[in-house]
Amino acid sequence: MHIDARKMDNDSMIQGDICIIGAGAAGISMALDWMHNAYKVILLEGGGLEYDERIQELYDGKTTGQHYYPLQSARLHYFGGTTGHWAGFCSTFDAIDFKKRDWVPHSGWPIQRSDLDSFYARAHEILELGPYQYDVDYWQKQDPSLISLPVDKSIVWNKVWQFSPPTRFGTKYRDTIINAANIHLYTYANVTDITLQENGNAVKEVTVKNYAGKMHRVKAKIFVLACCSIQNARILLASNKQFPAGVGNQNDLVGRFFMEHLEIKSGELRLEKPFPMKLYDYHFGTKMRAELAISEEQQREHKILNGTLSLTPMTVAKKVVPMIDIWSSKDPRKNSDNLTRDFSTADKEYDPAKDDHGIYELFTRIEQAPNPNSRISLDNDLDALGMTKAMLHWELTPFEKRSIRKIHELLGQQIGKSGIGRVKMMDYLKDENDFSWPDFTGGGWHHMGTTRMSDDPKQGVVNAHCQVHSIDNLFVAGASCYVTAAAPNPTLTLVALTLRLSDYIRGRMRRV
Amino acid sequence: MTAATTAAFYFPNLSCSSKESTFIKNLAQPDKLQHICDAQTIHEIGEAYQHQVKQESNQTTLVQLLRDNGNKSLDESAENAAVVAFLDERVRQDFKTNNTIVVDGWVLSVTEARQCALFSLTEK
Repeated sequence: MHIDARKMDNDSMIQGDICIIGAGAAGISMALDWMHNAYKVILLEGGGLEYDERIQELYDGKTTGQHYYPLQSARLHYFGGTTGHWAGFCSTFDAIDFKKRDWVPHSGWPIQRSDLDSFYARAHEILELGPYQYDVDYWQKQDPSLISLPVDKSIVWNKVWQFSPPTRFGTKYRDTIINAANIHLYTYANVTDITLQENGNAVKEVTVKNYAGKMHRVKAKIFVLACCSIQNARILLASNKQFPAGVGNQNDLVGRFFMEHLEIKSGELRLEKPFPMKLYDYHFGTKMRAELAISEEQQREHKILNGTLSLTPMTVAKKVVPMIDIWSSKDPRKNSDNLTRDFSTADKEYDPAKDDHGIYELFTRIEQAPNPNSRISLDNDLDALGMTKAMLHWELTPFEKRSIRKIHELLGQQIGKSGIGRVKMMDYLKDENDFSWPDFTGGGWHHMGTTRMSDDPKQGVVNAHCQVHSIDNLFVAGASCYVTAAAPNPTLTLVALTLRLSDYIRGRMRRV
Repeated sequence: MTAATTAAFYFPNLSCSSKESTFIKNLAQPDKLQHICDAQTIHEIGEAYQHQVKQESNQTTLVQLLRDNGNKSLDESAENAAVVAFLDERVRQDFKTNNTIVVDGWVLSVTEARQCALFSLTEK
């Protein structure tokens, strides 16, 4: 069922069993999981079913610190969320990503990698991925022409990525959601405030507003905040009429530990003779590929962050403009068009027979170290609905740069040992005492960590079940719950984590 | 110190014999790198290595370090093929034992980095 909240009588009361706030990858995944049961599910989307410029403006906000993309265009604000233009890159987090690493401050999840296994498999279906197989041996058995570089896998290993078509949730699941009798999708329903019960231990209702000047209230037994890392933090912080610090922020953690993946060109691999690189190739339509990752033992020994290197023929890579330059407009459609055109032109012009000179660009994808100073906070400015805007301070540390350098060194040693070529890191990595970042430093538009997970309320906003500490019926879905960012793009894991949350809530509802 | 290395140590750089000059030039040819980058790059790596490892920034020391692997010392009469084979093996051993160094961004075996340094000195 679909209801346009602009057309409802002002000050309507919406009621249901469970209220999911946000209809992006997390919110829709959860709604799909609740279809056709006895519960009335309210799914609130701030935007409409299609892109709307005025709605997108609600994501506007300032950035400070490390140069970043305009916040207004870093996420999509309509049904389907940012899956409206995502590229479909998926891989699982590694076991080490969940562990407490004594060399990574603030690391350690209250859950383990194995806790997500069954949910990863279910997430695969939603994201229209191939078999839940991330062992390179599996793929090499399917296609023997996928040949590994001759590296010692106890040091450098092939981490598999799979590629979603990519699934555009807004189109793929629109009819399914709208036709589900128990799912009540409200569009143009921007949550601007959360009201707690007087004792502060539960959500009483949320307020939604829209450009039509309508304000409604929503009551439910359970509320799930699924708006993306920036907006989840913003809503909690801006809901400050009862508690000045905001909801769930008694320990000043909401908005902190904002993490991105550093995605940056970083070196080159030069081969003496041609090598079959199909395993590492990426073109539009590719189903899987591998990136070069560093083993857990080596990360531990060298005290580095988890990251991977992808390989692109240098003739192609040279034609690709850095993402931080290409994504400079506040209009996400313009940026997305530029990015797609840039990649597809380089991809189409590539002729392996002519252009493969044995030189490959190394491109790093690496987790950002959890950093309390890297954060979302509230600005003084208000958006058009009267809600305080979010502000991002993105702060990197020397740790990320030292890790990138060491990853190249480890790969360089392996390539040298194999005798097939050499590795060269880019100029900005040459000096091990230089911790500045080049102008082309960018992120992957992967926002994580602003409501991090911990069993200890003094260390995290949500517990292992993604429940906001001390608020009995408020949960958070999505990458904002991440404690560490790992190397892979976050979508697969956030959908898996959401399905895990969904199971937990279902179990709890049954018990009530 | 072997007789051969002693001899090398005392040969003045600018007045070495033709045989020694050929020997030094052969030592200054990083085999693998020559296949993947040009002379200018090797020269730059060599200069960077000299800057980075100042105590080795002279021809005499580099020749000594390159010709002597601890167990065996190359004679200056060695054929180029023998020099290449000797140094290739040292490069392999360097990578096997992680005796590597990052020079000018390149992840190299210490031996081949020294070869680059010698190259940059002899090609001046």
